[in-house]
Amino acid sequence: MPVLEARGVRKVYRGDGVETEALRGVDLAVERGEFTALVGPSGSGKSTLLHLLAGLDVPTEGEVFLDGVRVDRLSRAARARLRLEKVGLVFQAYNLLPVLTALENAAFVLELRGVPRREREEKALAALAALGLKDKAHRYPRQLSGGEQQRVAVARALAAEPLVVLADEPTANLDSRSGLALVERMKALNRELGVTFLLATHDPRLLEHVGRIVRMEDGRVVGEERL
Amino acid sequence: MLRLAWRNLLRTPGRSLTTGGVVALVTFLSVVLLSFYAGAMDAFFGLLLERTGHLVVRVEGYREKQALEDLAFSPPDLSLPQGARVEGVLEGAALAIAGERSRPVALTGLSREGFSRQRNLLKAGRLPEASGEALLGEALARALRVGLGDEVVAYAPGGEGIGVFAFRVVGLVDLPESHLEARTLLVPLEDAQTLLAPGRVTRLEVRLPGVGLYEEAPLLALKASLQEDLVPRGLVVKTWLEANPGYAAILPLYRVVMGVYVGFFFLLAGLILLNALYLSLVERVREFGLLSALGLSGRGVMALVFWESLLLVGVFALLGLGVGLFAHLEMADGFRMPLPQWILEQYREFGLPEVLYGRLGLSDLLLVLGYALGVGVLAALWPAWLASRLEPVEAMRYVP
Repeated sequence: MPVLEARGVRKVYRGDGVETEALRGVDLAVERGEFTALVGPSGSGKSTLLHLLAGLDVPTEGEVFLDGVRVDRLSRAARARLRLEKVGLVFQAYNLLPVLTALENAAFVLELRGVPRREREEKALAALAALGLKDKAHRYPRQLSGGEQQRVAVARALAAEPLVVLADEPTANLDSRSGLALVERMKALNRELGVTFLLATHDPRLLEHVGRIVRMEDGRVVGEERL
Repeated sequence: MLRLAWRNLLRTPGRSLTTGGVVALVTFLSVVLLSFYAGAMDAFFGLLLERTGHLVVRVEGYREKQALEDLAFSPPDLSLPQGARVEGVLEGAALAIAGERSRPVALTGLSREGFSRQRNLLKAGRLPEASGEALLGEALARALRVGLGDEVVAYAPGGEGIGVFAFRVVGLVDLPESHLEARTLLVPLEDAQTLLAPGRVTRLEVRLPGVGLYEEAPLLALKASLQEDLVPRGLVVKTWLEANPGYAAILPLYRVVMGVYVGFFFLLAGLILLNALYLSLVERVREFGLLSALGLSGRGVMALVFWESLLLVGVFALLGLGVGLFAHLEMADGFRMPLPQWILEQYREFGLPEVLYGRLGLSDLLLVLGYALGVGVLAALWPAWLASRLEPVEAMRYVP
């Protein structure tokens, strides 16, 4: 059974009397342990698909499954609960809570789950260490570089031991070296821990590190290749 | 969540201090206001109690009776607790004559203790110390063209007394209402009885040492036991509040009015708090989107906003309460009102003290804290609801 699945998904945004069809019948299945990249130009629907798969939004038509649960039929609160339990999210920017240290940010999802302090800090510190940030655990986001902030966001996603990590343009705001380093670390974690990754990106430099590439254009999946 | 709320408050220290400062100020002012007004009420009702006595014995239906023979009675022996004091008072109408001038007066016969309570009204001269001495209202003295040492004759024929009595004016009293002052003639009780009704009084005042200002239970118990003897004799007993129903009605109203005043202060503080919370929400839309995306439920988002509001209000309300309590303790030791002299003179005329003693009860503190808590919750309600309704994807794209 796929960890993530979209069946005939359409998403139409309506606003100011204008309809925009962001997804036009997408079918996609991601198996456990895969490291997949959604690629395509801006406006191809990558982020929208990622948001629907994460339960951040619901499709206009079609079905979305996360670990066998039909996400699009869940209430807002139930989707939030599902994200909390099973999904690690990394965004392009504004990933961290500015008033929390790197360690507290990395432990935040665990805190929401009610994990005891000592346990969650141990897990968060281990995740930060895996991403080379152990010595910066007590720094606030403003004291970290853009690349370090993204790594803290990945550490937060991983510390919670999610079923799947969904990352939306995680390297878009990073220089090439930092971006590459981040993806290499994510790939290593995928290999070592078996965490499923699905990245939305239009950065071609990252593609040699992924196991599968799904190409999107104009709200459709137009191609797929396994590496 | 509490830690996050606390740090969110610290990230905009200027705004938190300003908003919290308003809450602290409102709390402080509320405590001081409640203490001050309770002190003023105590002074007013203390005076009323002093003038009335804890219990008053009169003829039944005295409000409808006019004639002295219907109002006067021979004072019965009262079975009273140890230490209780009973004073008789005789009031009647007379004509005051000085030379060729005369005026109708309300003649009041007072005991020595009764006179001592008139001391703060004394404008000139001294209190009567012997038979044949009298106090006149200043306006009456002017009308009769008499002064200290002059003689005034009280004329009240047709009663059981001798009907005429000459008094020497030894003091002048200043009353707040000039029409009363123009009719006031205060004489020793025995002289009044000789003149009007030998051995009789129109009122008995019972004073009970050790009974607190608003303690009603011991008064009602004593009243009940006295009534058994007195009612068959055509007499009634009233507590001092029953004897002054107009003033007694102020007491429950006072609490409501003070509650409304304090509530109004907190309403203003609540609007400022609401504004601060709303601004904070607008500035942190993306952050709320992120929290929601990470899995914080709508309820959790609401709880965060509530915590921020309650922490802000709680900390500063406690601060305001602390400073307010300190001010109250100072006032409880005696507080001289910083008022112009002419206002203080008015106070004196009414017999009110210039020094008030602040009073604050647990219910006052609970009222202030309750308002603070209520404002903290109510002001956060709308911003919290808005924050909980934010769609994570749209919120994270928001550009402030």
